Amino acid sequence: MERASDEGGPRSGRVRRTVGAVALGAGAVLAVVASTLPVFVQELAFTAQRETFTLTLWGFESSLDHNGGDRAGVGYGVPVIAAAVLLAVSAVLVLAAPRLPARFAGPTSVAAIGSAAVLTGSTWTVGQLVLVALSSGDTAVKTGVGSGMSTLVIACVVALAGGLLAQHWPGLVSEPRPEPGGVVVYRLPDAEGGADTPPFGVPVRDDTAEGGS
Amino acid sequence: MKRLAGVTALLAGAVLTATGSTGSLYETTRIDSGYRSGYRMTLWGGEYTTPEGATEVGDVPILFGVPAVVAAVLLVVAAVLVLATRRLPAGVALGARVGAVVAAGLLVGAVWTVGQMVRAATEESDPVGGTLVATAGTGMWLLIAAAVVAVAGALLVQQRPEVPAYQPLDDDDTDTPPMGVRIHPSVSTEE
Repeated sequence: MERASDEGGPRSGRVRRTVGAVALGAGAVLAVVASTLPVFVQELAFTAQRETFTLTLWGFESSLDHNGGDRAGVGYGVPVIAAAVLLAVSAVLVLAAPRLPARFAGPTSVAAIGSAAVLTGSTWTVGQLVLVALSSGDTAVKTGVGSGMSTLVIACVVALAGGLLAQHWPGLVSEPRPEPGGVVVYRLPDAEGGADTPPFGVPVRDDTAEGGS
Repeated sequence: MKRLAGVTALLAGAVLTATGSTGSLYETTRIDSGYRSGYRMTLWGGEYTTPEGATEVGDVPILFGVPAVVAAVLLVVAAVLVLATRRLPAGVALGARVGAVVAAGLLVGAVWTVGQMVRAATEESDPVGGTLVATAGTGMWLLIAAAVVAVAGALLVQQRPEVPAYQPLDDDDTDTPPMGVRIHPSVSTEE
């Protein structure tokens, strides 16, 4: 996956974060765009008058506007838009990560992959509808997958990739903290308690010639 | 302790999903000129009850249950991996926690989308006439509970210190190398 090739200098952390944020943002934009496009289009030729049914994320539309569409449309788009908003928020959070306190890091990565997963679950469920429409054996019905469905699938792949890039995989170079002036001491978490060398080292006897100052 | 509660919640989410997937999402009953007909929808399609009392299954069922069941399986896998997290390399352990979030998110997306369908079906005005009674079924409520529990579980198994507050040891750009750094000759202790 993305992470194998991502080892190296300290800049790779920034590149990974930027690519992840851009992917999350792109997933959000694609999902919003997809919500305006047809999920599938069915051409019905039962009578001489052809009829085209279009399913969008906001309900069915017919080319023959019979009843003025009094039937309430199913708002499949609501979870898609909600996921897109969450994706956009997490894209901003991922991008702003170095300027945010460390306690934001966990929620940010959870939000990034979580919103991508919500989008995927929603898209998949809508996709089950498309599968049913496609498997209709009736020769009078011609079904085509709409651009909305394919855009949604791309949005999911892009968002999931972004969500994975936003995780703090161990072994990857982390963001270098801003350098304070003077001595920098990095303190490692100590699981055993007290067994490690203290931050400023242990005093040793200086046996060198000019030692003992 | 928190981890154990999270694992339990993840497993409970999976069990609730499995239970909910067999229950009815919504049921409609139509009473028209003395005849009673019904429609019942589960995650695996719908079935009609004709006024004569016979049940008919729709020709091509909508398998809304597939993503939900995949999410439930992922929840179980993530729960097991999180439980064994101490014996796993750090990358896999993080993968398990991320997997728990993915599974919970997948379930939320699937349940929410199905919920939108159920909402529309139960709010729908009857175009034909007669009395139409539509109610959300136990399956729907179980799935909503499953999604909530799974999200809680996924959040509980997360670990706070995700970003190391120190530079990782393999970052040789800023850390002191194992053999020390070359210092200016004027302060050298070498002979």
